[in-house]
Amino acid sequence: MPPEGHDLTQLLNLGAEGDSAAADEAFERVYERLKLIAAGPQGAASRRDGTLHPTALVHEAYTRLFRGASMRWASRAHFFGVAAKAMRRIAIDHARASLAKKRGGDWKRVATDGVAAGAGSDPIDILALDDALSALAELSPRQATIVELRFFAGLSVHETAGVIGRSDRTVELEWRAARAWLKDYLGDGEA
Amino acid sequence: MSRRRYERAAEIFADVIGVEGAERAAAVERACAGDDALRRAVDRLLDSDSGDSFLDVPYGGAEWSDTPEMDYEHVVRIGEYAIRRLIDRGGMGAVYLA
Repeated sequence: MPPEGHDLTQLLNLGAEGDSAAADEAFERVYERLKLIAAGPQGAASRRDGTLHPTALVHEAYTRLFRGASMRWASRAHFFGVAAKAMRRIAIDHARASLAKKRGGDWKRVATDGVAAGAGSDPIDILALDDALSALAELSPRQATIVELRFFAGLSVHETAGVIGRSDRTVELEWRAARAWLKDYLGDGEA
Repeated sequence: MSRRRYERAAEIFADVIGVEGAERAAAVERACAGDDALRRAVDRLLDSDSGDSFLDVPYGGAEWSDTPEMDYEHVVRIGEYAIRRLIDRGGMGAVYLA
């Protein structure tokens, strides 16, 4: 495993044990790495039809950071949890930047280049979802995590189940409840 | 809404989505046991369960991951080769880095 991956593994593990400084540092590293891959020429591998595919991006970051090293199950789970949060941040950055651009305000080159909007990533929807997800986290932190993993990191039900340590069935049901709650919260029909 | 009420509403929602109509209404009635606030929370979830949501497609219009990511880091030995990771998969099977 490259030294960077080794350090990150330690940070991820410490973060999961409640060390918030380590958790923040792990988040920043994963976030920066995801942005770098999305913006670079390699990011092309993560995009089809000019659209960013978070699944490909997250998996690419994982492969590069840990380069096939055998990792403890728990560390992999922590990585995907953090990567989903980082993808959420990237999606918000991108949504804000594209709204600012639409408004014709002072256009700045943002570090989210390469993250092209696609279906399901209307900037207004994303910002509203971010708020709604924070509200959901107050009611059910687990459901909010499931939505992050599924929607922002594109993980399958089975992968999500692996990350949170629950059965596929539980993830299916919690996802469905979260989806309904978010739909209601965001205004029926428009969500 | 309190966390406890929401969690209970989500549990009831999960229990009744497999049944329809009168059977569902009766199951909700039974589970809520006269708690009107809980009942409303369950009904709102059920009302919002159908129809499309932009959450039905992952961010960026991607597809849900179907890679065996969670398994491929286990190094498996086949003869003299150590299977390190999955490179890609297609119609004929999967290609692994050995």
